Amino acid sequence: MKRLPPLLLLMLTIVGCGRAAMPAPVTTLQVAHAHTPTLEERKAAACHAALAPQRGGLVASAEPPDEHRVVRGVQIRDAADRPVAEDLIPSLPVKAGDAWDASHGRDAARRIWSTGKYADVIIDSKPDGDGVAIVFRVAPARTVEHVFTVDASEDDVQSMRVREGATYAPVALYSAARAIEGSYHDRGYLDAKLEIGSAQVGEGRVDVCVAARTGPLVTIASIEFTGTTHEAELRNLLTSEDGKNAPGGILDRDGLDRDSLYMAAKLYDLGYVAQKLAYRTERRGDQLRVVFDVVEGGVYHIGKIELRGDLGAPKAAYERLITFKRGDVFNRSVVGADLDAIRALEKAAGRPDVEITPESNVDPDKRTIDVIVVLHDPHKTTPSAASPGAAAKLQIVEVVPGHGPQAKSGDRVTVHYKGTFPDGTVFDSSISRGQPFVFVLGGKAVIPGFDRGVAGMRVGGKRRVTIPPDLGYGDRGVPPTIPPKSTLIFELELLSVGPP
Amino acid sequence: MFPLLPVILSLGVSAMDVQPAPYVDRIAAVVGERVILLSEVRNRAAMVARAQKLDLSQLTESVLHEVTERLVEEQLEQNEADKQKIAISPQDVEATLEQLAQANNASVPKFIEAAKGQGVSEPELREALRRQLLEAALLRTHTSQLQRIDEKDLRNRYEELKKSVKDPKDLRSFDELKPELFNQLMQERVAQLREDWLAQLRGRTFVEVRVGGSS
Repeated sequence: MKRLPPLLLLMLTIVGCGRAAMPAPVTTLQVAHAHTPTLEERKAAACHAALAPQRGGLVASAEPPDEHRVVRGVQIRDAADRPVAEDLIPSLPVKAGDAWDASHGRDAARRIWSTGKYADVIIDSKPDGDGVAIVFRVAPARTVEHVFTVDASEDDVQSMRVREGATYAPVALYSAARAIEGSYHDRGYLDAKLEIGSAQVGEGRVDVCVAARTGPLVTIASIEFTGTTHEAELRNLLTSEDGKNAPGGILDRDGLDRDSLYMAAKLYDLGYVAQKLAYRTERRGDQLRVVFDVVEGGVYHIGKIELRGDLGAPKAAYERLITFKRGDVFNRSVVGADLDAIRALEKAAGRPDVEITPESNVDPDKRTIDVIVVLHDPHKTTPSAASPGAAAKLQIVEVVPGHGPQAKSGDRVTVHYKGTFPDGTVFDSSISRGQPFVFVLGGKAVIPGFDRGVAGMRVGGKRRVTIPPDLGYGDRGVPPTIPPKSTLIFELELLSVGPP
Repeated sequence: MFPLLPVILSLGVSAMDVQPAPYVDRIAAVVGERVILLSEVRNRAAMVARAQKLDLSQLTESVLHEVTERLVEEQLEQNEADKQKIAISPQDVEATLEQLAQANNASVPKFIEAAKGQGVSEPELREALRRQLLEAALLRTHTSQLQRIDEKDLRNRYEELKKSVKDPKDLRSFDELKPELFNQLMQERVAQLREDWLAQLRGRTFVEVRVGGSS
């Protein structure tokens, strides 16, 4: 980069006013000093210039060296043509003696940039015998000359670590500004904005302006419920810490998300198996209306109750622990508590590894839900109906290995799946519904084979899982969709992994 | 008469205001912690020019602007992929290339030849596929935000279609068109998801475009 000339200006009187006037002949050289901007003028310049893209046209560049030309030397030089950062040169991918390679040149420029010491990097070249000398011209990172603030607190400026004399690091400043904005949003200032502006004031020096706009404090005007006959019970589950999520308080989305889960659980306990619950916010000025939209979907009753699988004790012992009966309103907590009692029984009987999986057949027309308790002892093998006498095993084929986070027990996973029988007939597919399936891995929400098929997958990965009947829907099946003793094949794709 | 010598130099002129000397390459854009070099903008612009059977100098400013913006988006995606440790292997790219060739009733070598005929070299083709697979992998982590398409959505779209045709009797029945309507709606929703997600990425990342198309 060219060095700017020193302080003194040379101003030559050139053109008079108006296009029609002939330029006066130049008879004198006038030497004048530049106007030194006042602090107010500098503040205006910095505070009106946002960290916005500054664009130039596609500037013509020099012809790059022929990729067959040998690099005779590599240097890093500053604007004054002084060698700098010589210790960096050996680590650059452009090396003397190699043929010039434009992509290595780019990688070298990135390497120099990544030190954080330079505001600009330009690759220059000049002939050197039959080869070429490569020079990386660098402009040092600028220094903060003055920090101006507009409505930004001392704390905000301090937490951004922008101060006079420090290196001007726009990337870090931008990230810090977004984080501070987030903290304002969490405190109810939903329109808060932090702008960073800068203006160059000399070679290598820049004024910075931090301008904050908090906007109004946005508070909740009302919390309403639609579509439910159990508003009082659901409203009772709203939690309000420090006045948040209550009329007059500020919005806390994490809190509302958490409360939504408890509300859904309550509805399940009231028999609303097909329920949907979601909240939305409507804003008017500095007031928010929070609305929970509920679709109850009708009360479901218990249909058939069945015990299946590896019963280690007489059936009556398990039946004594099942407190719900046919015709009762379905209550998920009650079913869960009874299953825990069965687990305790198995543990007391010296079988702590027995898996107890609740399966259900839902009939939306009759609004009934059959509850099937399946016990599986992993230390036993159950002969498959397809190959009597042979232990049927779960088969997992890694079709596409994923590269993202790995799914483990306790994770909330999102998958797409297609379920088929061995003859290729599709019995279920989340893909055709356009709705990925979300569940907690290891939470007994799905058949054991499905759970095991997903465990260990990485996000982006695809598996084909063949599930024998005893790890699927067993001897009963799911009439009419899944016949008894069916082997099932699932094609799975893991879309995401998150906390439970 | 003395010749006119318009020389006005002052303090505080940004380095960007001064026409730089010719150079081989320089930083065209900063995207978070990464940079895009001008040669990358020029290479991509040259690819666009070849595809349109034009010379690079014939490309309009708005096309150059779009090329730069697209490179910025790709860098935003790459930054996000690095953060989430998502990567696309050469085997993934090869498998996709095979599928594409098959879909075009061609072998992989023939498909690559056809791409060359359109001005896209094999490395450029593989890199383009890698980027598309990466974007798809990143978008998949957001599919829970995709609104479910239900019967009502399909019916509404069908009704819109009926209004747009001259004679509704020429239109196939709803049941016949359902799969196409579903695909159309899904594509639109994925495109919207992509746009919203990129806007979010852009909002939380420092982006500075220095050269490569005017605003």
